[in-house]
Amino acid sequence: MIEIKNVNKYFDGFKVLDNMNMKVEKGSIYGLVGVNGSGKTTLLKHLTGVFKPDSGEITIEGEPVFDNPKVKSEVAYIIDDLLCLGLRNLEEWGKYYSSIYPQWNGERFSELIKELGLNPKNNLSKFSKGMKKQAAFALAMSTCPKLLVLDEPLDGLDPLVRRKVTKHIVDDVAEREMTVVISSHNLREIESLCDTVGIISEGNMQIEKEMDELKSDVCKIQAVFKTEPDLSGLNVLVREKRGSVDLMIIRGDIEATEDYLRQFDPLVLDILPLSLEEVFIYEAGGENDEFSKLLF
Amino acid sequence: MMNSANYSSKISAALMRDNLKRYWLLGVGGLVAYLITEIFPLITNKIDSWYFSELFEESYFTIISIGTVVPILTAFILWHFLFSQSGTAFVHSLPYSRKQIFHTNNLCAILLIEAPILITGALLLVIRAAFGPIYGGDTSEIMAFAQADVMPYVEIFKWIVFVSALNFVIYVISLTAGLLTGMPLIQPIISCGFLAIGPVGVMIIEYMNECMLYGYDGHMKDLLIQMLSPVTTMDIGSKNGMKFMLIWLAAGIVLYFVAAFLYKIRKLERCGEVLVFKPTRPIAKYMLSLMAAILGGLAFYYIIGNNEGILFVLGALIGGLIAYIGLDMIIAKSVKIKGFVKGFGIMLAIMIVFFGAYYLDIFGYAKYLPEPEEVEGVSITGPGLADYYAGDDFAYSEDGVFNSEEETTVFLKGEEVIKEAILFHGDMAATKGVDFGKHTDGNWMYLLADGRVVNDEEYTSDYSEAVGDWADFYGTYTVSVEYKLKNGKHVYRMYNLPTNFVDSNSHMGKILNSDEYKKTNFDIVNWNLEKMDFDSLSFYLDYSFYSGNDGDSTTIVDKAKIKELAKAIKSDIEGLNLKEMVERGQNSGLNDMTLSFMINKSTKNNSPAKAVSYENTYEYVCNVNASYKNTIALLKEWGLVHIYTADDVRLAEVSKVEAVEGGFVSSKFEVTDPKLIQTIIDTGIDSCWGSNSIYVVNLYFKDVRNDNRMTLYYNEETGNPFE
Amino acid sequence: MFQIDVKSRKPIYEQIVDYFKELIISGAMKKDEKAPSVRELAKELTINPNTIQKAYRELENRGFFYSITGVGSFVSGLHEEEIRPSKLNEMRTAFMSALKELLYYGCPHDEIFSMLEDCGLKLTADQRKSDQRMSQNKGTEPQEGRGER
Repeated sequence: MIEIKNVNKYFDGFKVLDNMNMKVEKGSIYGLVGVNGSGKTTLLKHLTGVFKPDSGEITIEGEPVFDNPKVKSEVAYIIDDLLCLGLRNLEEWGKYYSSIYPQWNGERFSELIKELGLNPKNNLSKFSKGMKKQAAFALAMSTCPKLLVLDEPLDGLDPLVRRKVTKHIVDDVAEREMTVVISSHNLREIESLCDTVGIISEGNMQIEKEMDELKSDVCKIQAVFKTEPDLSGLNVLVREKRGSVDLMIIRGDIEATEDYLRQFDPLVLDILPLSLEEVFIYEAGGENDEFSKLLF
Repeated sequence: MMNSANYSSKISAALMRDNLKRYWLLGVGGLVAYLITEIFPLITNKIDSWYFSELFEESYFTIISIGTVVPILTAFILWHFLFSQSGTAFVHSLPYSRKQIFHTNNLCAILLIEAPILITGALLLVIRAAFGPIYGGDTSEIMAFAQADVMPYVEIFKWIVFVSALNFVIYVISLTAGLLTGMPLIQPIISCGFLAIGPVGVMIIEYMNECMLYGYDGHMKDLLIQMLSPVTTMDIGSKNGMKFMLIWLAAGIVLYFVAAFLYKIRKLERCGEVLVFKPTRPIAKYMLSLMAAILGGLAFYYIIGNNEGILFVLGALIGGLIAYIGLDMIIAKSVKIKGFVKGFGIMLAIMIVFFGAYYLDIFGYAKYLPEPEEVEGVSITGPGLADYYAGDDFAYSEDGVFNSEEETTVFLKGEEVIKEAILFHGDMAATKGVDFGKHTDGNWMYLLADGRVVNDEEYTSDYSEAVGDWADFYGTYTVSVEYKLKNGKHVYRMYNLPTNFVDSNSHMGKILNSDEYKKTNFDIVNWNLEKMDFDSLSFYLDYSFYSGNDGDSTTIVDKAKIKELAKAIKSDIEGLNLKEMVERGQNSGLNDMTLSFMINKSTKNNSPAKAVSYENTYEYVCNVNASYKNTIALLKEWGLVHIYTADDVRLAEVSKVEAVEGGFVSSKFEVTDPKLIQTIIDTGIDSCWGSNSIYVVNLYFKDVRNDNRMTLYYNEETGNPFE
Repeated sequence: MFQIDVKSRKPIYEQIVDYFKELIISGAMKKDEKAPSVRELAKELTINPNTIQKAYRELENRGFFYSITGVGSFVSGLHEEEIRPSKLNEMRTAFMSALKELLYYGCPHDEIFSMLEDCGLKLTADQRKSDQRMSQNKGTEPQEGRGER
């Protein structure tokens, strides 16, 4: 549904996006992770048609996004600042959106607001930060978009609201194959919600994989071997010995790895798939010793 | 779904509606402002007390104020989302094309700005229709407007067009300013900058030229200033205001499309930058630094004093470099001076070249003299030379409007005169660098009745009345030369010279004595008295030198007498020589009588540019003084003037004032010898200057009507009959 | 109700697969019973529909489900599992260790036989005879855990 090909973007000489490639399937919930400054927000602003790439192309359902109102009418972006347009309350926002978004669903909007406990007639300046976020979410969802773009969406929301929000997102994906792109630091949430993950570093897409594949791709191992095993057949990423204990990160299928290691009759063999957080730390942190302290 | 968005259209109805809903208050504000300043005074003023000047001259200021503030504010508010990251990101993620956003926002803004203006204009029309013509009152300054309709429909339409155009242009300028920057505060600064830079630039360059180019005449200043900014085009007295505003309107339309382009290519990620477009950064830096340099130069030149050109260059370098560093920091938004050495170096080089060229006058401005063959006509104005003093010049034309200088300047075209003028000009130019001594900022000195001499600061109302006053400095006068060349160009020069420079110059003497000069500057010389029919002649007797019998003013209606007097004046002028002519200008007391001839319109045979026009008559004014011997004799014969002689003097007191260390002292003595008294009357001068040692003579008359005292002076230049 | 354990290292889709497997094996879901639609289950559990989709595909691959386009997924009657040898060994080891523990704590052999029968094994009278020798030799255990039936 979304295709980003070989996109480069410079901010005053600084390369913010470096040969960025990204592919998102329709109906997928795509998680975008990266350290601060890796280019996530910039990428999302490209997706919503705010920035224009210096080279490369960005298409949604085959059509370029930039300055393309038709495409933008089906992309919803959660706003940071509800006061920026000077509309007083949610009622006015609803009216405004109803006139510019073709798929606007007013009933849904009313229901959502009620569910989130927001009063459409209250002045927005009196809303707390969390309430504003909820309102922004309600607005975005009520446009019944084909693509929902969320940048740190669930920050500052209490767990109950989080639940509700997530539920609605999942509903829409299930009902009408809405595509979602979420950028977040909350890896637990991404792990539980997303089916595909893209890890960005320094403006470049490092890894883009289905969640399960990503996690099953690498495993961490704690083992005690009677005799020194021959690990040449395995893709050992990190290996550390603490006394007689072998701590390893191995890339490869877990089950195959386990079978392989069992040949050496380990006294102890613990194999675990990495969590997304651990995969991220590894990919973002690079191969160094600090890393092993974090993981073991 | 109520949406029927057409994405390819230029205007989005939804955005329009939304904008209007949110910002309608701006329009109301504008309307209120216009109602208060334009309509309210009209309605509440009685028609009789209404003066033409009040509608448009007073509203001049309010039109400019409202017309500047409202568009800048509107542009700022409509486009403020450009200045915040989140606002920008949000608006551009909405399903609008950039074209839609641009045109819709602007259409909305223009509606909000123009609607109040059109409504006000309509109200003005309604008032005019309801009240009928509104006649202007009579003031002495604008007698020509008496009984004229001050707010005819044409004027109202002009008002509507002018104010609409002004607001549109300023809006487009503010819009462009907003597109050039990413920071909110900078938008109004740039807008005002654009509006001011033309006139301000011209003015500071003018001032610089005055400092650095010897002989610089800032002649064209006013017209240029009027042209170079929409806020200065409005000039009630000139006919060009509307023309310039329409040109600005056309420029505004072009600028609109430039702004559309800028918006299209504007990089949204640069929101937050002082200047969004990279090429504007060096331009702004260098240009503003150069302006700051000129200001720095002016500051050094005038404040530190002694008017040395090198001071200007020094001040310019300092001002320019400080400004450059400051601007670089502001634009880069950091105080780190990183990598700016190159720009700094370029700035330094530019300034050295620019100001060095000025200082060294490499184009030879100061030395320039035209060749006599190139010159079609020359005009010289100055003390004793100015048309007003020496000749008769009222620059009213048929329709009672002041003509511009261009239309009333008289050029001398004779070959010999031109040659002499160029030589005179050469003499003036050669005074470059000459120090004439103290010229201004000296003291006015006062001789008190008790013999004390005090200066301006010391002299308060507590003191007894002064019986004499003089300036302890030599004034300088401004002498201007204007050439009209055969190729159509004009060359202007202006010099500040001491008062005695002109009258001692032989070339000037030749010019003043030329027939052509007299003919062009004294209209009366050209009169064909046989053909002319005079209505009346009247004059005021202001000065104590000539005392009339019948009070302060006299009117002669005897046509034969008028003609005779005119003949006498004519012959006097033709017989005047240099000394007498120039003295007339120097000593203001000697332009003593102002004669006003009322001539039957159909019979005056000269250009009407020199006379005031009434319904059936022209009024021609000329001045005469003591050197017009024939005229004075005739008037004396008719008993219309009385010239004092020693017989009229009751008491003659002479005070000798001398400068000593720490002040002045005076010593008084009486003169009783009638011959000496008559000498005094014949040779004493009316006002005094620049002297350390003077004689103050007070003549007390027997006739008490004329203030019973006349003060005459002698100084080092005039010599005196006492020693 | 079935809950996804997000903290578990086990991929979510595997948890779903296990869950249905459990239901099917234990007989809670009968043959040809309709499984909840992907949409319904996603909404109910608030998890990614794609994940559910994946789980259903896996279940189909393993023979637990069959699907009819436009209608949904159903329980199939086949139980062909490919059990990996190591998995089998794992379960054997667990079985043996549980059994030994039962014997250690003095669980009567008859009870054990009943349990086997409860699981559907039919034991003959001969097989029911417990081996005294076995119960006496507590210390020695065969190394190869190959199950004897």
